[in-house]
Amino acid sequence: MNRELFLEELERQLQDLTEEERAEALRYYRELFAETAPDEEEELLRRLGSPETVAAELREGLRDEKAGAGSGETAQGRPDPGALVERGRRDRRRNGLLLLVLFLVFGLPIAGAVISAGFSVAAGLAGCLLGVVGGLLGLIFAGFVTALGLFVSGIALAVIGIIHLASPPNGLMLMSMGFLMLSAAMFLSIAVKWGGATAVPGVVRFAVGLVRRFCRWVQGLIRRMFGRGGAAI
Amino acid sequence: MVFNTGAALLDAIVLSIVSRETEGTYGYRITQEMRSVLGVSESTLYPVLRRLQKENCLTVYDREYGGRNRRYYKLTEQGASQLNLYQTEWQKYSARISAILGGGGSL
Repeated sequence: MNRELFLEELERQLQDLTEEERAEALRYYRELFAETAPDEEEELLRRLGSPETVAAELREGLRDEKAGAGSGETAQGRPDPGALVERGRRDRRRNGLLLLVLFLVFGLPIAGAVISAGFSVAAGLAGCLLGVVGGLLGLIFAGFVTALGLFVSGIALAVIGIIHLASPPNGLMLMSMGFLMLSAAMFLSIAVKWGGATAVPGVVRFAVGLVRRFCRWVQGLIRRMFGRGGAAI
Repeated sequence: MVFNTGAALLDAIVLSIVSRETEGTYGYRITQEMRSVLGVSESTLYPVLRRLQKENCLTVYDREYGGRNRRYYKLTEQGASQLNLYQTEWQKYSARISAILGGGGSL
């Protein structure tokens, strides 16, 4: 076992750490070896032990660091911040359980009513959203059909107008009406395309976003109640 | 080592070692000192350094030496006051232990 093999194996052993943690740890050991003279390297390797041992110690140390390790209190009883965090988390868990019991005993009937009310509100909102989307789709369809109709009659009128160019005023009038209808048709079809490609997907995406945010909020509530603390403090 | 060295004591000793240099000191030096004082291994030291960094008692910077980068650890203001606290606590604590254990000498 030499330093390169050791470091390679250590890197392999640390695959379960985050990239940052792994890089920091490897850097620390790499520097140790860099500072060690070649004739002391063997002793250092012996002292460190196998890469597996070092990796295990690292993991334990990092875990303790995250959980706020410490002997709890220093001599004069001033707790170190790690112990405070640990105790805080324990207390919160106990509070969460107490709340749950109270809730079950007293809150269930009320909760039942509240929950069903909540569901009806949610269902109502969902219905609203569906209605809006449906309405938009309907508008788009109507627009499409109208555009088609305008297009066909526009062409028809224009043709008739051209045929009747013999009697100029009538012919011209028919022709211009025909072209007007054609341009209206084009305008409508652009509007329809916009509706289909942007408006409806936009509304749908907005609705989905709302739902997702709501779910995450509920998740956060539940987690806070049961004291699992979410992100590390 | 007969007595288990708790995390707080390790923190205190590391802070003390780092405090001796105004510019701080590098990892390998700290491990050497730790080994001579406590006999703890390099692997024991790493989590301590990480913890002190996370608690903002130590700050790190790199300095080039002999074509490679050395990571230096330096005491922050918070680290200095934390060290002070540890020193006061240690005085009281060790005095009480010495009193009850007897055996004289300084710990």
